[in-house]
Formats: sequence, C-alpha cells, structure tokens
Amino acid sequence: MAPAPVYRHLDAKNRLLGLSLGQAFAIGAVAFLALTALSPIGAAIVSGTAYAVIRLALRGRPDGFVRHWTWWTARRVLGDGRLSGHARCPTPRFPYAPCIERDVPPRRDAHGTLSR
Amino acid sequence: MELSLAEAVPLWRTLRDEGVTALITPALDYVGGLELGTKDVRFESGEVIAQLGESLRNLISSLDDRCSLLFVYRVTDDVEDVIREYESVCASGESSALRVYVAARAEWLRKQRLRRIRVFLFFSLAGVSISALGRGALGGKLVFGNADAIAQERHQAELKCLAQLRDRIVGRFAQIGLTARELSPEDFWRIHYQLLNPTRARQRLVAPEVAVRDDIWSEGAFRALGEHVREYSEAEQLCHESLEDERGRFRQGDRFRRVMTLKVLPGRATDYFASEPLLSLSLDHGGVREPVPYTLAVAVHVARQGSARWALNVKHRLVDALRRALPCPPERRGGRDVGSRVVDFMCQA
Repeated sequence: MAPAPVYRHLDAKNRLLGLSLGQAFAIGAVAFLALTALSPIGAAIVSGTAYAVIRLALRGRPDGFVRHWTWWTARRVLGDGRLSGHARCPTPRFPYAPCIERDVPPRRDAHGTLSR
Repeated sequence: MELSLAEAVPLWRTLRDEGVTALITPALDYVGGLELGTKDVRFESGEVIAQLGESLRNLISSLDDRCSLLFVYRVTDDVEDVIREYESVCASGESSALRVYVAARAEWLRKQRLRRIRVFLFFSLAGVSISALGRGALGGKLVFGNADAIAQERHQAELKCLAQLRDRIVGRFAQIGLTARELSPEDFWRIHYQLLNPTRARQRLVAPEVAVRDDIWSEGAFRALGEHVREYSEAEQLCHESLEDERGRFRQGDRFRRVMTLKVLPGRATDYFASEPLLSLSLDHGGVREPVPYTLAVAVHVARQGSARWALNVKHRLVDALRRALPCPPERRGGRDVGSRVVDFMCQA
C-alpha cells in the first residue's frame, strides 16, 4: 500500500544554530541591547552566554515548555497546584440561554412590627 | 487563595435552539457535537484503506478557514449500561427459555473484561470569538466575552451557521460510510461530568440535570457577603472533584491524567491510519491483554489560509536569508548546496 502524501506542517521546526526562530530573535534582541550598553567583546560574551543558557535550559524540552512551565508555577504559587471543584467562580449570565428566574416580592417596610 | 476548577473549564452555557445543540464557551465559540460510528480498518484491503484515508483528508480540506474539529476517542471498561440495555430489550420475551438464556449471557458478560469505544467529534466555526488569545491556556483562568454585546440576530446567525456545518459534516461522514448522531445538551453534560469526575463516573453516578438560576443578589451583595451566595453556573454544577496539578501530570483522586498532543507530522511518508496502535492500548498481565480505559483527543484547527501561507513564506525566506548570511562549512551541508535544500524544503511545504 502506498504511503499517504505528507504535507509539512505549518509549525514545523525551522532550526537556526539549534534555536527556533523565536529563540533566535530573543538572542538577537539580547545582542542588540548588549551592543548598545557594552563593548563589542562584552556584547559577544553576553550573547554567547544567553545562547548557552537557552540551549542548556531548553535541552530535551517539548514545544511550549516555557509557557506551560509559567502557568504551572503560577498555579503552584496562587493555589498550591489545586484546582478546586468546590471553589466558586463569578460567571456572567448568558442572555440567550434558558435561565430559571425567581421573582422576589419587594421588601415591605414594616417599621419594626414584623417578628424576626 | 483557592483556584476554581470551573474557571478553567471552557463551558459557559449549553442550549438547544433552532434545531441545533450548541455549547457556548467563555470565548463565545459556538461548538456542536456528534457521536460517530466506528469502523475497524484492520481487515480492509489496501485500496479501501487508502480511499477512506483520502475521504477523511478531503473532509478536512473542505472546511472553512478558522474552523476547529476535536476528535475525542474514549475507551472505557464499564459496559454495565450496555448489558442492562440488552437485558431490558430481551426482558419482554415471552419464552422462559429466552429469558433464562439472556440472564445467563448477561451474567457471563459481566465477568468478562470488555472495552467499549465511543468517538465524539466537536466542531466550531470561528464565530464571534474574542481572539485566539482569549481562549486561554490549559489550566488557566478563562475570560468571559461580553455576551450583552451580541445581538439576538447575531446569536441566531451563529446557530444557523453551526447547523449548516453540522449538516455538512454529517453528510460527508455518511458518504464515507460512518454514522453520526448529534449530541443533546444532556449528552454534553454527561461527557463533561464523566471527564471531570472520574471517581463518580466509576461509581456510575448519574450526571446532574443542569439548571441555571438567575441570581437574586446584586454584585455589591456578592462582594459584601461572599461568592457562596451566588447561584451555581453550568460548569460549577458539573465540577465536583478537585484536580491536583503535579509535576508532569494531573491527579484526580486516585486517577492520574496526562494530555498528549500530536503537533507535527513526520517529515516523510505516513501510512494511512498509522495511529491505529494508539487506539488499541491494553495492559499485558501474564500474557493476557486487559483493556485499559483512556481518552485520546486530536484537535484539528484550520488556519486562515491566506495569512498562514504568507507567514510561512516570510518565515522560510527569513530562515533562508539567515542561513546564507551565516558561514557554514561544506561538510555540515551534507554534500548539498544550502540553496537547493531550501528549495526542496519549500517544495515539500
């Protein structure tokens, strides 16, 4: 049976020196900032260090690691990693879905004559 | 501070109107649902498999831009309701021999380790969704769109478009030979309840009949008295069990959960239905294969073709320019010119 033709995914990895395009841009931004503030040698050292840090920190990590790690850390800090089924959340009303409405009679001013 | 699970569930309201069932997410996506019939391709010939694979590809390619499909493949080992249905159907038999046979067969079936497969397809158009960013991230707090800004006519138009998409998908599946049944709001609630409450699902507890009530207190009263006086939302009525977010996994009671996402296709050839081994996972206990319950979800999102092609071309041109600008030793080029490799890459894309 002939294999199915495969079209390359739009998000296929385009590696540049082992970096994805976004990471390469980040290195470029670091290099630009370093060049504006430091000497060329210092900027080269800073850029090389940034490259090494990114390569080592993301080695073997899946795509979207930084984004998911950030969310995970936020959940650990805010709620100790617990998504509670009993905690309440403010949900606005959707106007076109059925909703049970309950009429509450207006409160009558009894001037303290009604028993509590 | 406690994070609410209901805030992370993309479920605002489920309704049936204009002859279509719609789940509306906080991002204001209108989502429909189908339960698909299953087809075992293992015993089909190569031509039939190729034809079926191409039919499914054509189905995807015929979808509009920014349309989303979510296939959910659920395998459970709980077949009690099926056995009960079998018993109830045969209970009206007048023959006592038949009733005895059915009872014995049901008892035998209950002793077996069986697997039950259900395939669901959830679909949505781009609609009036606030933005891709507004859909949030997994486990993050969702942002509710401004429903008051949607006119009644726009709401009806969204339902009409959803019904048209449903009919189109059902028709395409019928051509392939697969049956499709539209899910009711009760089906949506049942699926959410079983996925969100695995312990209760294992105890065969029935999903609640969701009824949303209007708040009688004002927002000022909620701030003064607390959120506990607020009426339950639809998502809150379906969330009963807490989720622990641990490193590398989620835990719900004694059940561990992981999410698998198939993102990038292999760069070379792929056989039709190459993921078939994923659909028959089981545990091997001393040579005896036992079914294991699991859920496999595959999402398909049709990008806006014009902008996606433009972005892809820009990305490729940029990578090509950077590769040309950087010095690269000939031995690392694999004996081929960089330009020709880039041209090959563009042709593949």
